[in-house]
Amino acid sequence: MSVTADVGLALLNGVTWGITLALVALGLSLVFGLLEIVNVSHGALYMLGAVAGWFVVDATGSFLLAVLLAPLVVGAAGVAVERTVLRPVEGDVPATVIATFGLVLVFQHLALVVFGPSTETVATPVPGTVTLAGITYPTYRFVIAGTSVAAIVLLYLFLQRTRYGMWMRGVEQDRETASALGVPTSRVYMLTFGLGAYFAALAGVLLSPIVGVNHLMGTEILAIAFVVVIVGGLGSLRGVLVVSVAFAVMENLGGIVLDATPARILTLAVLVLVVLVRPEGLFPTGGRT
Amino acid sequence: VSDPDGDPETDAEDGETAPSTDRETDPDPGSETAVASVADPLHAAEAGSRSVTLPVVGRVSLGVAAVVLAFAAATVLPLVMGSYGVFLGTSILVLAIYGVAYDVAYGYAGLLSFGHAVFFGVGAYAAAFAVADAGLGGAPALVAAVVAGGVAAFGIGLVAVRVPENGFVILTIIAVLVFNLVAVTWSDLTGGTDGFTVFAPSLGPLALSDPTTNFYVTLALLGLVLAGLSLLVRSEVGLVFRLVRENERRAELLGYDVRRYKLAALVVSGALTGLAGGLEAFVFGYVNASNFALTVSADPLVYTLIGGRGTLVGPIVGAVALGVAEELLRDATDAYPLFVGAVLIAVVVVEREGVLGAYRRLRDRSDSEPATESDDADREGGSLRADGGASGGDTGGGVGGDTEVARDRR
Repeated sequence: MSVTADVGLALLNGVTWGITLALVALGLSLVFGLLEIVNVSHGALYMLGAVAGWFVVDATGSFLLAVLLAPLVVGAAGVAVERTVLRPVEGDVPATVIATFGLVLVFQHLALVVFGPSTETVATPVPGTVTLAGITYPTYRFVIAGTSVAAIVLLYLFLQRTRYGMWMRGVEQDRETASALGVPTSRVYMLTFGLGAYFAALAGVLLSPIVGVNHLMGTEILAIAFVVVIVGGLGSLRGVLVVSVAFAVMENLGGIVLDATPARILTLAVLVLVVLVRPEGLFPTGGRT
Repeated sequence: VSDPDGDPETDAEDGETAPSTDRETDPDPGSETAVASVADPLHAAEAGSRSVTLPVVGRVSLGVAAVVLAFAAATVLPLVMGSYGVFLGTSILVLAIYGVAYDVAYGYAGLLSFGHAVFFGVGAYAAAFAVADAGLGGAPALVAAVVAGGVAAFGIGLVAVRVPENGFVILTIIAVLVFNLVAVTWSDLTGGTDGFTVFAPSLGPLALSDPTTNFYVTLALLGLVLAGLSLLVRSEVGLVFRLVRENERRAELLGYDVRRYKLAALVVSGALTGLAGGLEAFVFGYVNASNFALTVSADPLVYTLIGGRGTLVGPIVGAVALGVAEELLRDATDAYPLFVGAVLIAVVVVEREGVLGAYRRLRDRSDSEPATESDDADREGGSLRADGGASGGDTGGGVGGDTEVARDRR
């Protein structure tokens, strides 16, 4: 293949994978920005989404149903977890790290019990390839990217145009004032964590035909999502989007000359160096909560 | 993004009013008020301890006596336990060293780290390479483990102490996940998840391959680490660690280079964690990439949370309790991770001060009834990190003298 085609494929891969990564990192960032929870269990929620999706596909044979149902189930579980386990520790970052790490162990064991220790594959729901400017590319990757874009646009519209979205932005800016003005903060917290879990699980279902389903999956994407959130600026949604895509493009460009894992490690290292230069991240949110 | 400690003004309020009004049961009111109100907290604390020398000596020697007694009791164990018991005991002692080392960073300097598996793993691999590839003896191998742990801590710390407060823990999580990825991928060097065998070397005349010898060597090293660290935490540097934990901004205003102290705490902690990793390689006779797992980072955190943070003795209690629990659960259900997860959640949600903290509170309850803190009103104030009264100071086992001073003075 020519160099141009290599670069073209890397860019295409980078953009499609970056948008899905943004889906995961947005949930992490949203939960951190509003609830001050450093959610170590985000990767486990991604895993739960993939596992739940596998069960739906196994039972009904419909991947579409899995995409619709599994994130809802995991999102509901997220709401329940927020209300019971996390509510007492919110705002106390170290405590949230410890509690959510406890959740990781619980979720993984739960998945091990119901799903078993093996890795299962999910058949590609949309077979076939598309040829674009000389590059042949699996159609399903476009489906993943398209779904991710749709979810992100819907999230944006939800935050900007709905009452709950306005409440969420209000709570993020000033918790006390929002509460004093009658915003039902308790419901906003539940909804926010549920949304975060929903997004992680959605990414899990979407990627499951590519990466396979395993009760231990989700740690690698957690590391990447954390890097993206830190480099983007803690709590900055715009930063998450930009850095997600930048990360994925860099990784794929690096993958032209390197193996996949060294390319990933190198990209992570570069981004961590960015933190040395800009400790507040590329899009700092300032003193805003 | 938000700083849970709020601005310095409110912090000062928390620090000064909480212990004197609704925290009568506070185990550590003396050092708290000293830190809060006197311009030079370090010397104020020292002055306090000088003025009441006698009772402190009594308390401290009682605590030291208890620790010495426990060590003496431990020396008898190999005589009464079978070979598996000795092996299990040694592995628990290694974890106790790991726990104590972790507590320097988390308990004293307030650095919640999930990166310690990196220090533990590089320590284990450094010792293993020193013995298996370089053919070195036990002493240089353990020195290599200490150096490797310290260097790794320095490298990670250099980045991690720079990011704003909440970034530290996230960066340590990233570090451990990246090292795990590297260790699993680079299996030519590390042996991947299968690892490779290490034959325990000799430490001078002592053959570590003998389980009983290994037990005593590890016990002696735990004693050394404990003694050295209890000197450190009571030195001026140790006091600054705690000042940084309780109120970073105040430490800065008093002229301390907070980043440097955080880095120092992490390097000491990382070096001793490397030692624990090296010992682990000798106890189990092999190393593998799963030393870099996130769960390995969580182990000493669990010990510290269970035993009580900032106490040095607490993590040892926690390591023994968890080590025994793991052994029992392994036989029964293989649900140890689930158990640890449940313990972690329970500890932070229900009982944040660990066993020693709970004991202290029960003991102090006779003084006065503690004011109940409402969950919502205390959203900002009841932070695990800024939770000065509950976890402040090393009263555990009487190892820390200055905090006991406060109670006697009252």
